[in-house]
Amino acid sequence: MPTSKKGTKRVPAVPRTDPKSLVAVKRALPAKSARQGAAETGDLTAVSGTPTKEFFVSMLVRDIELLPAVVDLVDNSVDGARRLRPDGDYSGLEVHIQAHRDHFVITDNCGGIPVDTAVKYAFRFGRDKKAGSEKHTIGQFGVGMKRAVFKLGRKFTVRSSTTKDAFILVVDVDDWLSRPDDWDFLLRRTPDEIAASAAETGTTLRVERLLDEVSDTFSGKAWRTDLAADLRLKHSDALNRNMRISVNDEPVRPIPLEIITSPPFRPTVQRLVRGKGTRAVTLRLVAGLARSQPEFGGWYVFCNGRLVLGPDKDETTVWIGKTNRGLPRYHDEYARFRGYAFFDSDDASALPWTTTKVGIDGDSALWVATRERMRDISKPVIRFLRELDRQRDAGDDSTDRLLEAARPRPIQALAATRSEFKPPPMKLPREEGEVGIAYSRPREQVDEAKSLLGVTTNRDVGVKTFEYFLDAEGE
Amino acid sequence: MPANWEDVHYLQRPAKNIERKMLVDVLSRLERYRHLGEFHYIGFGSLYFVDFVTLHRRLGITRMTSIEEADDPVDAARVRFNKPFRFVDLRFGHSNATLGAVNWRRPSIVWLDYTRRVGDEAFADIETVVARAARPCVLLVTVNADPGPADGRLDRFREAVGDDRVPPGFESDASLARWGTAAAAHRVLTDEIDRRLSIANQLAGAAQRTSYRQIVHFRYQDKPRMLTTGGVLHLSSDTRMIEDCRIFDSPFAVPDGEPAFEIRVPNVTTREIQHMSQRMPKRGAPRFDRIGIRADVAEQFRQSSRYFPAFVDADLM
Repeated sequence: MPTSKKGTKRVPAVPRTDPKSLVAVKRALPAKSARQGAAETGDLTAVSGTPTKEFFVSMLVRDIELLPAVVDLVDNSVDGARRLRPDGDYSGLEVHIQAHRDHFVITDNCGGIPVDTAVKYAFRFGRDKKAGSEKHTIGQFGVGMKRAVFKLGRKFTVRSSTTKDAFILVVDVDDWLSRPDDWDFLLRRTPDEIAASAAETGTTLRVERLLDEVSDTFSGKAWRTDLAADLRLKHSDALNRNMRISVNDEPVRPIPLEIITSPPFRPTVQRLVRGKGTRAVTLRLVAGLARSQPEFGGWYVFCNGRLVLGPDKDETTVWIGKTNRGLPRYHDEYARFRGYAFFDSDDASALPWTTTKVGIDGDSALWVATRERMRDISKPVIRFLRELDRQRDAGDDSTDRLLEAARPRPIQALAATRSEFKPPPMKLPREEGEVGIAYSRPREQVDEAKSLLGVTTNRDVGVKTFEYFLDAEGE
Repeated sequence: MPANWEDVHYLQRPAKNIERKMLVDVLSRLERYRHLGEFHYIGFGSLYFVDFVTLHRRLGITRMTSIEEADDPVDAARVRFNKPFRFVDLRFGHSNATLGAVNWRRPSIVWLDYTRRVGDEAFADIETVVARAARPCVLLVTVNADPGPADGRLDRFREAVGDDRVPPGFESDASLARWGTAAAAHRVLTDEIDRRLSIANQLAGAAQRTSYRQIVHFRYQDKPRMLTTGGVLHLSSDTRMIEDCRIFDSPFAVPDGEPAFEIRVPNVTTREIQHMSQRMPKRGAPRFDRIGIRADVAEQFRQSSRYFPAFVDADLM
């Protein structure tokens, strides 16, 4: 249980002057368990089954670190963007994060939170099954925002405007903790702030009385780089759809999610639907080539647009491991490999991710079946890259040149039509009866040998020095 | 790996020479806080040990450790021969392997004076220094910050530092052009010190919490573009005493957030040096158009004149 900053003044929660405008956001937790009057025989002592708020809050925040909690907040904005722009173009939508020693603010113009949603999901503890679920969201578990605010500080204010309604919610966490049986937050409708148009909608969350460790982090510098790095990866899809995200006024740029689409290097593209009704999951798999960037080679797995894994270079996806026989260990010669798996569903709980959204639920049947398929479509691409490496070693760069000429395009621009990776057959060197020799020497020495021999490739250095040796020493 | 002294003779690096002297000017202001003669200097002396000689002469430091990567016994013998003082302790091996075993119990000045680019090598050494060095510790880092060819610049930078360390604003080849790579490297180094410090502070008790205050940020270019940054790691409770040193009164000290100090060495002849030195105005822009010296060259000379390498450098023993 993190402690609050010492010596800070407690600010009262929402002033209760106008009861009509206040809406209680109730918990969905079980009420006090029935426990009294149970003593029929012997001495029974009642043990309370009701969690204390402190315990509840500490459980809520223990599995998440600070920066992922902030990324969770951005999920809410991206969910808003999705509702606002079903066509997937997020131009003009923005999320700005400002954090300093004594406060944290995130603000967006992504539609705002309807009062009804705030009451039923956003600020409720746990989800009421009867309330149904929101469509196609990242924030499936109804915990993201609460978890983040408890992780950050001890006072928070949410202001939100939609085109239909608007509200403000002020919570003094210390005050709330001090009332053990009252779990409600009080939300005040603010009709004056109802947005006149979609462009004026939005949500601002401000957190104050930051916890000591949070304040320390935000006093430093590295968190800005770390958060930006996390966001450009996790929300690369939203960023590549032109959403603007900034951290203390510095814009976050997406990592390039690219794929070469021009023949003869068209990627394998598959589209599948698994499950039925609201729990149906649409799956799009892409495996192919992009620029040679060792950092970005590997598999990327998205759930409702949020990157949950990747670029993965080990056995969680397709690379060698106990369950992945047949595929090699990831190596830099695969730096051109790109695999993308997009899982999308109206019901976020049907997706194979963990509650913290930072990983895959490896037990999910959907994931296990999908992984097999990912492995199958990876194989031809990996085989191609190995042959390419052999061709290159032999001093033949004809396929490399073809690849250099093919410009990779953003994955978002890839047509949904099915296709299969069928690279041009490669002329592989080495005649019957030949063997290859591979060795490495310091670059300076090889460069010197090149200039002495008057050749330009490493291969020629090998061949010429070998010939030179045989000339001098051979029979 | 050939020893880096093969690359260029130190006498041909006038900007580096000037940087060293400016650095001493900044460091000497810490005398008010702690007697610098008591500090332990840890550096990469190479064959020339110029920094060792300078710091001994100017600051009176007599406890020194030089880390030398040379693994060839002949090279090592040569390093031993060139060791300028008996009290310089030589440690052979890569800094990543040897730095941990240095005696970190006294206040120290550590200069991680790499000729290579920022990357894992620097990160590992920064981790060692921040985790082990007693406070106060002056940590200085120099890296090669040359942007190289435009094509693939970002990819190379990303590969060197890791994608998650690429700072926002430096995500294109063009952003790393000219001094862009130096600016990015500065941010990467500062971030790394901050990350390591925050871990050290989580482990330390409240009384042992430390802060980092940047004091220098130089850019210079003898051939490749280079970057030096550094600051003081000190007990947070000493903040006031550090402020009392008025470090930033030195024209060469640069606090975090201010633009880097760019050391520019004008190419001037000995005759011109003597002429300009005699007539340099106390304030205002120096003008020497009469002898054909352009205004920017005169200004560069004015800024570095006190530190300008003499015909025979006085740092030679």
